[in-house]
Amino acid sequence: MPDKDATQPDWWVVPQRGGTQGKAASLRLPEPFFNRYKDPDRYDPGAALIAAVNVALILGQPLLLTGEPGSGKTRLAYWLAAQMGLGDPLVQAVKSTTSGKDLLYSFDELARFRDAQSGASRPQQEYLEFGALGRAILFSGGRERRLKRDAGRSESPPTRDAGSALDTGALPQTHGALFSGDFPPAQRQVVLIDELDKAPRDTPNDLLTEIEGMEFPIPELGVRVMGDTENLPVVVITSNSDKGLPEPFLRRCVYHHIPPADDRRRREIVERQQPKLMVKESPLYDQAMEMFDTLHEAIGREGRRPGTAELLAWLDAIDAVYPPDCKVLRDDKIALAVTIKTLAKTADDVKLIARVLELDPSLVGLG
Amino acid sequence: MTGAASATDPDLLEYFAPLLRHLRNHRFQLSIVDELRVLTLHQELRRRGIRISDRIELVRVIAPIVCRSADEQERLSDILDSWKIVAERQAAGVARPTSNLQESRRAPADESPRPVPKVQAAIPAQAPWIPAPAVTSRSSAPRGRASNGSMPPNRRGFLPWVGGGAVLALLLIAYLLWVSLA
Repeated sequence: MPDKDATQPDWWVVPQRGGTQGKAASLRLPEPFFNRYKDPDRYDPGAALIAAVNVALILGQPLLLTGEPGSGKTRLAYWLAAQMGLGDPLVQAVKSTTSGKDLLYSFDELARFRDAQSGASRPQQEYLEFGALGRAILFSGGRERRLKRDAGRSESPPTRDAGSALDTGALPQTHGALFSGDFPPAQRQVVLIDELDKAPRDTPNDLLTEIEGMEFPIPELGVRVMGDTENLPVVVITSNSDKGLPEPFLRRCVYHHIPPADDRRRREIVERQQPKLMVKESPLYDQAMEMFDTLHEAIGREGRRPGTAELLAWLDAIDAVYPPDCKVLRDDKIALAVTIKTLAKTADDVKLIARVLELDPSLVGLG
Repeated sequence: MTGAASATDPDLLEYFAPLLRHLRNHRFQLSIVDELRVLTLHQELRRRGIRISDRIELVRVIAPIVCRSADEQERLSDILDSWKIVAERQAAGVARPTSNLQESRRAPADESPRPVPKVQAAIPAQAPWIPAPAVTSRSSAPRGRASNGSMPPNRRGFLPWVGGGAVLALLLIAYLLWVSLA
Protein backbone atom coordinates (compact mmCIF):
# COMPACT_ATOMS: atom_id res chain seq x y z
CA MET A 1 0.00 0.00 0.00
CA PRO A 2 1.91 3.07 -1.22
CA ASP A 3 -0.02 5.70 0.76
CA LYS A 4 0.80 4.46 4.22
CA ASP A 5 2.03 6.57 7.04
CA ALA A 6 5.34 5.33 8.43
CA THR A 7 3.80 5.04 11.90
CA GLN A 8 0.86 3.04 10.65
CA PRO A 9 0.80 -0.69 11.45
CA ASP A 10 1.35 -2.99 8.51
CA TRP A 11 -2.05 -4.58 8.72
CA TRP A 12 -4.07 -1.37 8.44
CA VAL A 13 -6.02 -1.23 5.22
CA VAL A 14 -7.75 2.15 5.40
CA PRO A 15 -5.95 4.49 2.96
CA GLN A 16 -4.52 7.74 4.28
CA ARG A 17 -6.30 10.94 3.37
CA GLY A 18 -4.67 12.91 0.63
CA GLY A 19 -2.74 9.93 -0.65
CA THR A 20 -2.12 9.42 -4.32
CA GLN A 21 -4.77 6.71 -4.41
CA GLY A 22 -7.49 9.21 -3.68
CA LYS A 23 -10.90 8.50 -2.27
CA ALA A 24 -12.11 6.80 -5.40
CA ALA A 25 -9.31 4.25 -5.38
CA SER A 26 -10.56 0.73 -5.10
CA LEU A 27 -9.74 -0.78 -1.77
CA ARG A 28 -8.58 -4.35 -1.89
CA LEU A 29 -10.10 -6.14 1.03
CA PRO A 30 -10.05 -9.79 1.97
CA GLU A 31 -13.16 -11.89 1.55
CA PRO A 32 -15.76 -10.87 4.16
CA PHE A 33 -15.73 -13.04 7.25
CA PHE A 34 -19.35 -14.12 6.87
CA ASN A 35 -18.57 -15.56 3.44
CA ARG A 36 -15.47 -17.38 4.53
CA TYR A 37 -17.17 -20.10 6.55
CA LYS A 38 -20.22 -20.73 4.40
CA ASP A 39 -19.13 -23.98 2.80
CA PRO A 40 -21.74 -26.54 3.84
CA ASP A 41 -19.19 -29.33 3.46
CA ARG A 42 -17.27 -27.89 6.38
CA TYR A 43 -20.27 -27.59 8.64
CA ASP A 44 -20.34 -30.15 11.41
CA PRO A 45 -23.83 -30.48 12.91
CA GLY A 46 -22.94 -33.21 15.38
CA ALA A 47 -24.79 -36.46 16.00
CA ALA A 48 -27.59 -35.04 18.15
CA LEU A 49 -28.55 -32.40 15.60
CA ILE A 50 -28.40 -34.90 12.74
CA ALA A 51 -30.74 -37.16 14.72
CA ALA A 52 -33.15 -34.23 15.17
CA VAL A 53 -33.03 -33.52 11.44
CA ASN A 54 -33.86 -37.15 10.71
CA VAL A 55 -36.78 -37.08 13.14
CA ALA A 56 -38.10 -33.92 11.48
CA LEU A 57 -37.84 -35.51 8.04
CA ILE A 58 -39.55 -38.71 9.16
CA LEU A 59 -42.41 -36.85 10.84
CA GLY A 60 -42.66 -34.19 8.12
CA GLN A 61 -42.63 -31.44 10.73
CA PRO A 62 -40.62 -28.21 10.90
CA LEU A 63 -37.37 -28.32 12.82
CA LEU A 64 -37.14 -25.59 15.43
CA LEU A 65 -33.58 -24.76 16.42
CA THR A 66 -32.64 -22.65 19.38
CA GLY A 67 -29.21 -21.74 20.67
CA GLU A 68 -26.90 -18.88 21.32
CA PRO A 69 -26.03 -16.57 18.43
CA GLY A 70 -23.16 -18.04 16.45
CA SER A 71 -23.94 -21.61 17.41
CA GLY A 72 -24.66 -22.67 13.82
CA LYS A 73 -28.46 -22.63 13.67
CA THR A 74 -28.69 -20.83 10.36
CA ARG A 75 -25.88 -22.81 8.75
CA LEU A 76 -27.78 -26.02 9.42
CA ALA A 77 -30.32 -25.11 6.74
CA TYR A 78 -27.57 -24.61 4.16
CA TRP A 79 -25.96 -27.88 5.16
CA LEU A 80 -29.27 -29.72 4.95
CA ALA A 81 -30.12 -28.25 1.54
CA ALA A 82 -26.70 -29.30 0.28
CA GLN A 83 -27.08 -32.78 1.75
CA MET A 84 -30.42 -33.16 -0.03
CA GLY A 85 -29.04 -31.81 -3.30
CA LEU A 86 -31.46 -28.89 -3.29
CA GLY A 87 -29.06 -25.97 -3.74
CA ASP A 88 -29.51 -23.08 -1.37
CA PRO A 89 -32.45 -22.86 1.01
CA LEU A 90 -35.18 -20.30 0.55
CA VAL A 91 -34.49 -17.81 3.32
CA GLN A 92 -36.90 -15.60 5.21
CA ALA A 93 -35.28 -13.21 7.67
CA VAL A 94 -38.00 -12.47 10.20
CA LYS A 95 -38.55 -8.90 11.41
CA SER A 96 -40.62 -7.56 14.24
CA THR A 97 -43.39 -6.74 11.77
CA THR A 98 -43.39 -10.03 9.87
CA SER A 99 -46.85 -11.54 9.77
CA GLY A 100 -47.90 -15.02 8.72
CA LYS A 101 -48.99 -13.59 5.38
CA ASP A 102 -45.57 -12.02 4.78
CA LEU A 103 -44.03 -15.49 4.92
CA LEU A 104 -46.22 -16.38 1.95
CA TYR A 105 -46.43 -13.22 -0.12
CA SER A 106 -46.86 -9.48 -0.03
CA PHE A 107 -48.81 -7.35 -2.47
CA ASP A 108 -47.53 -3.86 -3.17
CA GLU A 109 -50.80 -1.95 -2.93
CA LEU A 110 -49.01 1.37 -2.90
CA ALA A 111 -47.24 0.75 -6.22
CA ARG A 112 -50.48 -0.49 -7.74
CA PHE A 113 -52.31 2.61 -6.61
CA ARG A 114 -49.55 4.84 -7.92
CA ASP A 115 -49.65 3.09 -11.28
CA ALA A 116 -53.41 3.36 -11.39
CA GLN A 117 -53.19 7.10 -10.78
CA SER A 118 -50.60 7.62 -13.48
CA GLY A 119 -52.45 5.48 -15.97
CA ALA A 120 -49.66 2.91 -16.19
CA SER A 121 -51.16 -0.51 -15.98
CA ARG A 122 -49.30 -3.67 -15.29
CA PRO A 123 -50.54 -7.21 -14.72
CA GLN A 124 -51.58 -7.63 -11.12
CA GLN A 125 -49.12 -10.44 -10.46
CA GLU A 126 -46.27 -8.00 -10.98
CA TYR A 127 -47.15 -6.41 -7.65
CA LEU A 128 -46.73 -9.73 -5.91
CA GLU A 129 -43.62 -10.69 -4.02
CA PHE A 130 -43.41 -14.15 -2.55
CA GLY A 131 -41.93 -14.95 0.82
CA ALA A 132 -39.77 -18.01 1.34
CA LEU A 133 -42.61 -20.25 2.41
CA GLY A 134 -44.86 -18.96 -0.36
CA ARG A 135 -42.19 -19.74 -2.95
CA ALA A 136 -41.69 -23.23 -1.53
CA ILE A 137 -45.42 -23.96 -1.86
CA LEU A 138 -45.58 -22.33 -5.29
CA PHE A 139 -42.54 -24.24 -6.57
CA SER A 140 -43.71 -27.55 -5.12
CA GLY A 141 -46.31 -27.96 -7.85
CA GLY A 142 -44.22 -26.89 -10.81
CA ARG A 143 -44.67 -24.15 -13.37
CA GLU A 144 -47.65 -25.68 -15.14
CA ARG A 145 -49.75 -26.42 -12.07
CA ARG A 146 -53.06 -24.64 -12.33
CA LEU A 147 -54.19 -22.05 -9.83
CA LYS A 148 -57.53 -22.54 -8.21
CA ARG A 149 -60.16 -19.82 -8.55
CA ASP A 150 -61.05 -18.77 -5.08
CA ALA A 151 -64.63 -19.24 -3.89
CA GLY A 152 -66.86 -16.27 -4.57
CA ARG A 153 -64.92 -15.14 -7.59
CA SER A 154 -66.49 -15.11 -10.98
CA GLU A 155 -65.17 -17.43 -13.66
CA SER A 156 -65.70 -14.70 -16.22
CA PRO A 157 -62.84 -12.32 -17.00
CA PRO A 158 -62.57 -9.52 -14.46
CA THR A 159 -63.90 -6.11 -15.30
CA ARG A 160 -61.53 -3.24 -15.72
CA ASP A 161 -62.45 -1.42 -12.59
CA ALA A 162 -59.78 1.06 -11.54
CA GLY A 163 -60.58 0.58 -7.87
CA SER A 164 -60.32 -3.16 -8.01
CA ALA A 165 -57.26 -5.32 -7.73
CA LEU A 166 -58.49 -7.12 -10.81
CA ASP A 167 -58.26 -4.15 -13.08
CA THR A 168 -55.62 -5.27 -15.50
CA GLY A 169 -55.60 -8.10 -17.96
CA ALA A 170 -56.60 -11.71 -17.53
CA LEU A 171 -56.16 -13.56 -14.32
CA PRO A 172 -53.10 -15.79 -14.13
CA GLN A 173 -53.90 -19.43 -14.74
CA THR A 174 -50.81 -21.31 -13.61
CA HIS A 175 -48.18 -21.14 -10.89
CA GLY A 176 -45.62 -20.11 -13.48
CA ALA A 177 -47.63 -17.00 -14.35
CA LEU A 178 -47.27 -15.71 -10.79
CA PHE A 179 -43.49 -15.79 -10.67
CA SER A 180 -41.32 -13.77 -13.00
CA GLY A 181 -37.95 -15.26 -12.01
CA ASP A 182 -36.50 -18.65 -12.86
CA PHE A 183 -39.11 -21.19 -11.93
CA PRO A 184 -37.41 -24.35 -10.71
CA PRO A 185 -38.73 -27.82 -11.53
CA ALA A 186 -41.36 -29.19 -9.20
CA GLN A 187 -39.43 -30.34 -6.20
CA ARG A 188 -39.10 -30.09 -2.47
CA GLN A 189 -37.40 -27.00 -1.06
CA VAL A 190 -35.56 -26.31 2.15
CA VAL A 191 -37.01 -23.20 3.79
CA LEU A 192 -35.10 -21.29 6.44
CA ILE A 193 -37.17 -19.01 8.65
CA ASP A 194 -34.55 -17.15 10.59
CA GLU A 195 -35.07 -15.71 14.07
CA LEU A 196 -38.76 -16.35 14.42
CA ASP A 197 -38.68 -15.08 18.00
CA LYS A 198 -38.62 -11.55 16.56
CA ALA A 199 -42.06 -11.96 14.98
CA PRO A 200 -45.41 -11.01 16.54
CA ARG A 201 -46.92 -13.73 18.68
CA ASP A 202 -49.49 -14.99 16.14
CA THR A 203 -47.01 -15.46 13.33
CA PRO A 204 -45.65 -18.88 14.39
CA ASN A 205 -49.09 -20.49 14.50
CA ASP A 206 -50.06 -18.94 11.16
CA LEU A 207 -46.90 -20.33 9.69
CA LEU A 208 -47.68 -23.92 10.66
CA THR A 209 -51.21 -23.67 9.33
CA GLU A 210 -49.90 -22.75 5.88
CA ILE A 211 -47.22 -25.45 5.91
CA GLU A 212 -49.65 -28.16 6.84
CA GLY A 213 -52.27 -26.95 4.35
CA MET A 214 -49.79 -26.51 1.47
CA GLU A 215 -52.06 -23.91 -0.09
CA PHE A 216 -52.83 -20.28 0.40
CA PRO A 217 -55.13 -17.70 -1.15
CA ILE A 218 -54.15 -14.50 -2.87
CA PRO A 219 -57.35 -12.49 -2.47
CA GLU A 220 -55.93 -9.60 -4.48
CA LEU A 221 -55.97 -11.85 -7.53
CA GLY A 222 -58.86 -14.08 -6.54
CA VAL A 223 -56.75 -17.20 -6.86
CA ARG A 224 -55.42 -19.88 -4.57
CA VAL A 225 -51.96 -21.41 -4.86
CA MET A 226 -52.24 -25.17 -4.51
CA GLY A 227 -48.95 -26.79 -3.56
CA ASP A 228 -48.11 -30.43 -4.10
CA THR A 229 -48.13 -32.28 -0.78
CA GLU A 230 -45.68 -34.77 -2.25
CA ASN A 231 -43.12 -31.98 -2.18
CA LEU A 232 -43.76 -30.72 1.33
CA PRO A 233 -40.97 -28.25 2.11
CA VAL A 234 -38.38 -29.05 4.74
CA VAL A 235 -38.71 -26.13 7.11
CA VAL A 236 -35.94 -25.07 9.46
CA ILE A 237 -36.92 -22.40 11.95
CA THR A 238 -34.35 -20.69 14.12
CA SER A 239 -34.90 -18.77 17.30
CA ASN A 240 -32.47 -17.30 19.76
CA SER A 241 -34.68 -18.49 22.57
CA ASP A 242 -37.55 -20.89 23.16
CA LYS A 243 -39.14 -18.25 25.38
CA GLY A 244 -42.03 -16.39 23.86
CA LEU A 245 -42.92 -19.05 21.32
CA PRO A 246 -46.48 -20.25 21.84
CA GLU A 247 -46.97 -23.70 23.31
CA PRO A 248 -49.21 -24.96 20.45
CA PHE A 249 -46.47 -24.01 18.02
CA LEU A 250 -43.81 -25.85 20.02
CA ARG A 251 -46.01 -28.94 20.06
CA ARG A 252 -46.14 -29.01 16.28
CA CYS A 253 -42.41 -28.73 15.75
CA VAL A 254 -39.46 -31.02 16.17
CA TYR A 255 -37.22 -29.23 18.63
CA HIS A 256 -33.48 -29.10 19.14
CA HIS A 257 -31.41 -26.77 21.24
CA ILE A 258 -27.79 -26.40 20.16
CA PRO A 259 -25.96 -26.23 23.46
CA PRO A 260 -22.79 -24.17 23.83
CA ALA A 261 -19.90 -26.27 22.57
CA ASP A 262 -17.51 -27.61 25.19
CA ASP A 263 -13.76 -27.34 24.61
CA ARG A 264 -13.49 -30.64 22.75
CA ARG A 265 -16.49 -30.06 20.53
CA ARG A 266 -15.37 -26.51 19.80
CA ARG A 267 -12.05 -27.81 18.52
CA GLU A 268 -13.82 -30.30 16.29
CA ILE A 269 -15.97 -27.57 14.77
CA VAL A 270 -13.06 -25.19 14.25
CA GLU A 271 -10.80 -27.83 12.74
CA ARG A 272 -13.54 -28.77 10.30
CA GLN A 273 -13.72 -25.13 9.19
CA GLN A 274 -9.96 -24.98 8.63
CA PRO A 275 -9.21 -21.36 9.54
CA LYS A 276 -6.12 -19.89 7.89
CA LEU A 277 -4.18 -19.84 11.14
CA MET A 278 -4.59 -23.60 11.50
CA VAL A 279 -3.84 -24.33 7.85
CA LYS A 280 -0.60 -22.36 8.15
CA GLU A 281 0.29 -24.50 11.20
CA SER A 282 0.99 -21.35 13.15
CA PRO A 283 1.96 -21.87 16.79
CA LEU A 284 -0.49 -19.09 17.57
CA TYR A 285 -3.39 -21.38 16.71
CA ASP A 286 -3.06 -23.72 19.68
CA GLN A 287 -2.34 -20.82 22.01
CA ALA A 288 -5.43 -19.00 20.78
CA MET A 289 -7.62 -22.07 21.28
CA GLU A 290 -6.39 -22.50 24.84
CA MET A 291 -6.79 -18.81 25.57
CA PHE A 292 -10.32 -18.92 24.20
CA ASP A 293 -11.20 -21.83 26.51
CA THR A 294 -10.07 -19.72 29.46
CA LEU A 295 -11.94 -16.64 28.28
CA HIS A 296 -15.05 -18.60 27.42
CA GLU A 297 -15.25 -19.91 30.94
CA ALA A 298 -14.40 -16.57 32.54
CA ILE A 299 -16.88 -14.58 30.46
CA GLY A 300 -19.50 -17.30 30.81
CA ARG A 301 -19.46 -16.90 34.57
CA GLU A 302 -20.24 -13.21 34.40
CA GLY A 303 -21.70 -12.39 31.02
CA ARG A 304 -22.38 -13.43 27.47
CA ARG A 305 -20.12 -16.22 26.28
CA PRO A 306 -18.59 -15.72 22.84
CA GLY A 307 -19.81 -18.25 20.29
CA THR A 308 -17.91 -20.44 17.88
CA ALA A 309 -18.46 -17.98 15.03
CA GLU A 310 -16.75 -15.30 17.10
CA LEU A 311 -13.86 -17.65 17.79
CA LEU A 312 -13.42 -18.15 14.04
CA ALA A 313 -13.49 -14.38 13.58
CA TRP A 314 -10.84 -14.00 16.26
CA LEU A 315 -8.59 -16.61 14.64
CA ASP A 316 -8.86 -14.76 11.33
CA ALA A 317 -8.12 -11.47 13.06
CA ILE A 318 -5.00 -12.96 14.65
CA ASP A 319 -3.90 -14.17 11.25
CA ALA A 320 -4.40 -10.70 9.78
CA VAL A 321 -2.98 -8.57 12.59
CA TYR A 322 -0.09 -10.45 14.14
CA PRO A 323 3.32 -10.16 12.47
CA PRO A 324 4.18 -13.39 10.64
CA ASP A 325 7.25 -13.98 12.79
CA CYS A 326 5.40 -13.75 16.11
CA LYS A 327 5.43 -17.11 17.88
CA VAL A 328 3.80 -16.28 21.19
CA LEU A 329 0.32 -14.79 21.36
CA ARG A 330 0.91 -12.85 24.56
CA ASP A 331 4.15 -11.30 23.32
CA ASP A 332 2.37 -8.73 21.18
CA LYS A 333 0.08 -7.06 23.67
CA ILE A 334 -1.13 -4.45 21.21
CA ALA A 335 -2.14 -7.03 18.63
CA LEU A 336 -3.80 -9.08 21.34
CA ALA A 337 -5.76 -6.06 22.57
CA VAL A 338 -6.85 -5.25 19.03
CA THR A 339 -7.93 -8.73 18.06
CA ILE A 340 -9.67 -9.56 21.31
CA LYS A 341 -12.39 -7.11 20.38
CA THR A 342 -13.86 -9.75 18.12
CA LEU A 343 -14.80 -11.58 21.32
CA ALA A 344 -15.63 -8.75 23.69
CA LYS A 345 -18.84 -7.01 22.67
CA THR A 346 -19.62 -4.93 25.72
CA ALA A 347 -17.65 -2.65 27.99
CA ASP A 348 -17.99 -5.23 30.76
CA ASP A 349 -16.61 -7.96 28.49
CA VAL A 350 -13.63 -5.77 27.60
CA LYS A 351 -12.90 -5.09 31.27
CA LEU A 352 -13.22 -8.75 32.12
CA ILE A 353 -10.94 -9.89 29.32
CA ALA A 354 -8.36 -7.22 30.14
CA ARG A 355 -8.37 -8.47 33.72
CA VAL A 356 -8.12 -12.16 32.80
CA LEU A 357 -5.35 -11.58 30.27
CA GLU A 358 -3.63 -8.98 32.45
CA LEU A 359 -3.71 -6.41 29.67
CA ASP A 360 -3.05 -2.76 30.26
CA PRO A 361 -6.54 -1.16 30.27
CA SER A 362 -5.32 1.65 28.04
CA LEU A 363 -4.56 -0.88 25.31
CA VAL A 364 -8.20 -1.94 25.13
CA GLY A 365 -9.52 1.60 25.29
CA LEU A 366 -10.28 1.66 29.00
CA GLY A 367 -7.51 3.91 30.19
CA MET B 1 -28.84 -42.51 13.41
CA THR B 2 -27.44 -45.88 14.13
CA GLY B 3 -28.82 -48.94 12.61
CA ALA B 4 -25.90 -51.16 13.50
CA ALA B 5 -27.55 -52.90 16.43
CA SER B 6 -27.86 -56.62 16.06
CA ALA B 7 -31.22 -58.31 15.86
CA THR B 8 -30.85 -59.67 19.36
CA ASP B 9 -30.36 -56.24 20.93
CA PRO B 10 -33.50 -54.84 22.49
CA ASP B 11 -35.22 -52.03 20.66
CA LEU B 12 -35.67 -49.46 23.39
CA LEU B 13 -38.36 -47.65 21.42
CA GLU B 14 -40.58 -50.70 21.91
CA TYR B 15 -40.96 -49.48 25.47
CA PHE B 16 -41.78 -45.90 24.68
CA ALA B 17 -45.07 -46.05 26.56
CA PRO B 18 -43.61 -46.55 30.04
CA LEU B 19 -40.85 -44.17 29.03
CA LEU B 20 -43.33 -41.40 28.25
CA ARG B 21 -45.13 -42.10 31.51
CA HIS B 22 -41.83 -41.75 33.30
CA LEU B 23 -41.23 -38.43 31.56
CA ARG B 24 -44.68 -37.18 32.54
CA ASN B 25 -43.79 -37.92 36.11
CA HIS B 26 -40.82 -35.62 35.60
CA ARG B 27 -43.04 -32.71 34.52
CA PHE B 28 -42.77 -33.23 30.77
CA GLN B 29 -46.02 -31.98 29.23
CA LEU B 30 -46.77 -34.68 26.69
CA SER B 31 -49.98 -34.96 24.75
CA ILE B 32 -51.55 -37.83 22.87
CA VAL B 33 -50.13 -36.25 19.71
CA ASP B 34 -46.64 -36.61 21.11
CA GLU B 35 -47.30 -40.29 21.72
CA LEU B 36 -48.48 -40.66 18.15
CA ARG B 37 -45.38 -38.89 16.94
CA VAL B 38 -43.15 -41.30 18.85
CA LEU B 39 -45.21 -44.21 17.59
CA THR B 40 -44.89 -42.96 14.00
CA LEU B 41 -41.17 -42.58 14.41
CA HIS B 42 -40.87 -46.04 15.89
CA GLN B 43 -42.86 -47.62 13.09
CA GLU B 44 -40.82 -45.85 10.45
CA LEU B 45 -37.53 -46.86 12.03
CA ARG B 46 -38.72 -50.43 12.36
CA ARG B 47 -39.79 -50.42 8.73
CA ARG B 48 -36.27 -49.39 7.85
CA GLY B 49 -34.82 -52.09 10.07
CA ILE B 50 -33.33 -49.61 12.53
CA ARG B 51 -33.28 -50.57 16.18
CA ILE B 52 -32.48 -48.10 18.91
CA SER B 53 -30.54 -50.23 21.31
CA ASP B 54 -28.30 -47.63 22.87
CA ARG B 55 -29.52 -45.25 25.56
CA ILE B 56 -27.59 -42.32 24.08
CA GLU B 57 -29.24 -42.94 20.73
CA LEU B 58 -32.60 -43.19 22.44
CA VAL B 59 -32.09 -39.75 23.94
CA ARG B 60 -31.18 -38.39 20.51
CA VAL B 61 -34.31 -39.65 18.79
CA ILE B 62 -36.74 -38.98 21.64
CA ALA B 63 -35.50 -35.52 22.63
CA PRO B 64 -36.64 -33.68 19.47
CA ILE B 65 -40.19 -34.90 20.12
CA VAL B 66 -40.60 -34.72 23.87
CA CYS B 67 -38.52 -31.62 24.67
CA ARG B 68 -39.79 -28.08 24.26
CA SER B 69 -36.96 -26.17 25.88
CA ALA B 70 -33.23 -26.24 26.43
CA ASP B 71 -33.86 -27.10 30.05
CA GLU B 72 -35.91 -30.19 29.19
CA GLN B 73 -33.31 -31.30 26.68
CA GLU B 74 -30.59 -30.97 29.27
CA ARG B 75 -32.58 -32.89 31.88
CA LEU B 76 -33.65 -35.69 29.56
CA SER B 77 -30.44 -37.65 29.68
CA ASP B 78 -30.38 -37.69 33.47
CA ILE B 79 -34.03 -38.68 33.62
CA LEU B 80 -33.41 -41.61 31.35
CA ASP B 81 -30.53 -42.64 33.54
CA SER B 82 -33.07 -43.25 36.27
CA TRP B 83 -35.29 -45.21 33.97
CA LYS B 84 -34.65 -48.81 34.82
CA ILE B 85 -37.95 -50.32 33.94
CA VAL B 86 -36.99 -51.38 30.46
CA ALA B 87 -33.95 -53.30 31.51
CA GLU B 88 -35.79 -54.88 34.40
CA ARG B 89 -38.72 -55.94 32.30
CA GLN B 90 -36.46 -57.42 29.72
CA ALA B 91 -34.41 -59.18 32.33
CA ALA B 92 -37.60 -60.80 33.58
CA GLY B 93 -38.74 -61.58 30.04
CA VAL B 94 -42.05 -59.80 30.40
CA ALA B 95 -44.02 -59.51 27.21
CA ARG B 96 -44.32 -55.99 25.91
CA PRO B 97 -47.73 -54.38 26.11
CA THR B 98 -50.08 -55.30 23.32
CA SER B 99 -50.89 -51.66 22.81
CA ASN B 100 -48.25 -49.12 23.60
CA LEU B 101 -50.81 -46.37 23.35
CA GLN B 102 -53.12 -47.96 25.89
CA GLU B 103 -50.20 -48.70 28.14
CA SER B 104 -48.98 -45.12 28.01
CA ARG B 105 -52.34 -43.70 28.98
CA ARG B 106 -52.63 -45.58 32.22
CA ALA B 107 -52.65 -43.51 35.36
CA PRO B 108 -49.15 -42.24 36.24
CA ALA B 109 -47.13 -44.95 37.84
CA ASP B 110 -44.93 -44.87 40.86
CA GLU B 111 -41.72 -42.89 40.28
CA SER B 112 -39.21 -45.28 41.67
CA PRO B 113 -38.18 -48.33 39.74
CA ARG B 114 -40.27 -51.16 41.11
CA PRO B 115 -39.37 -54.77 41.54
CA VAL B 116 -40.10 -56.58 38.36
CA PRO B 117 -43.43 -58.35 38.67
CA LYS B 118 -43.62 -62.05 38.05
CA VAL B 119 -44.57 -62.90 34.52
CA GLN B 120 -47.90 -64.38 35.51
CA ALA B 121 -48.77 -61.34 37.59
CA ALA B 122 -47.95 -58.94 34.79
CA ILE B 123 -49.86 -60.67 32.04
CA PRO B 124 -53.47 -60.28 33.25
CA ALA B 125 -55.30 -57.87 31.06
CA GLN B 126 -55.16 -54.36 32.39
CA ALA B 127 -58.22 -52.22 32.21
CA PRO B 128 -57.85 -49.81 29.34
CA TRP B 129 -57.81 -46.14 30.17
CA ILE B 130 -61.03 -45.54 28.23
CA PRO B 131 -63.36 -48.52 28.74
CA ALA B 132 -64.95 -49.89 25.63
CA PRO B 133 -68.61 -48.83 25.48
CA ALA B 134 -71.08 -51.61 26.33
CA VAL B 135 -72.82 -52.99 23.26
CA THR B 136 -76.50 -52.53 23.95
CA SER B 137 -79.40 -52.27 21.58
CA ARG B 138 -82.32 -49.99 22.30
CA SER B 139 -84.72 -52.46 20.74
CA SER B 140 -83.55 -55.42 22.78
CA ALA B 141 -83.17 -53.81 26.17
CA PRO B 142 -85.27 -51.33 28.05
CA ARG B 143 -83.76 -47.86 28.23
CA GLY B 144 -81.41 -47.51 31.13
CA ARG B 145 -81.15 -51.21 31.75
CA ALA B 146 -78.78 -53.73 30.35
CA SER B 147 -80.12 -56.73 28.50
CA ASN B 148 -79.82 -58.87 31.59
CA GLY B 149 -82.09 -56.48 33.40
CA SER B 150 -79.48 -55.14 35.76
CA MET B 151 -78.88 -51.43 36.02
CA PRO B 152 -75.83 -50.02 34.29
CA PRO B 153 -73.14 -49.02 36.78
CA ASN B 154 -73.56 -45.31 36.20
CA ARG B 155 -77.31 -45.46 36.88
CA ARG B 156 -77.28 -47.74 39.87
CA GLY B 157 -78.81 -46.08 42.91
CA PHE B 158 -80.57 -43.46 40.85
CA LEU B 159 -84.18 -44.71 41.24
CA PRO B 160 -84.08 -45.21 45.02
CA TRP B 161 -82.92 -41.64 45.39
CA VAL B 162 -85.71 -40.41 43.08
CA GLY B 163 -88.23 -42.56 45.00
CA GLY B 164 -87.17 -41.00 48.31
CA GLY B 165 -87.50 -37.53 46.84
CA ALA B 166 -90.98 -38.25 45.57
CA VAL B 167 -92.13 -39.43 49.00
CA LEU B 168 -90.74 -36.29 50.62
CA ALA B 169 -92.48 -34.13 48.03
CA LEU B 170 -95.82 -35.83 48.67
CA LEU B 171 -95.43 -35.34 52.42
CA LEU B 172 -94.63 -31.67 51.88
CA ILE B 173 -97.70 -31.14 49.69
CA ALA B 174 -99.90 -32.91 52.27
CA TYR B 175 -98.49 -30.70 55.02
CA LEU B 176 -99.12 -27.53 53.01
CA LEU B 177 -102.71 -28.62 52.27
CA TRP B 178 -103.28 -29.38 55.93
CA VAL B 179 -101.88 -26.00 56.95
CA SER B 180 -103.98 -24.13 54.38
CA LEU B 181 -107.15 -25.97 55.37
CA ALA B 182 -106.50 -25.46 59.02
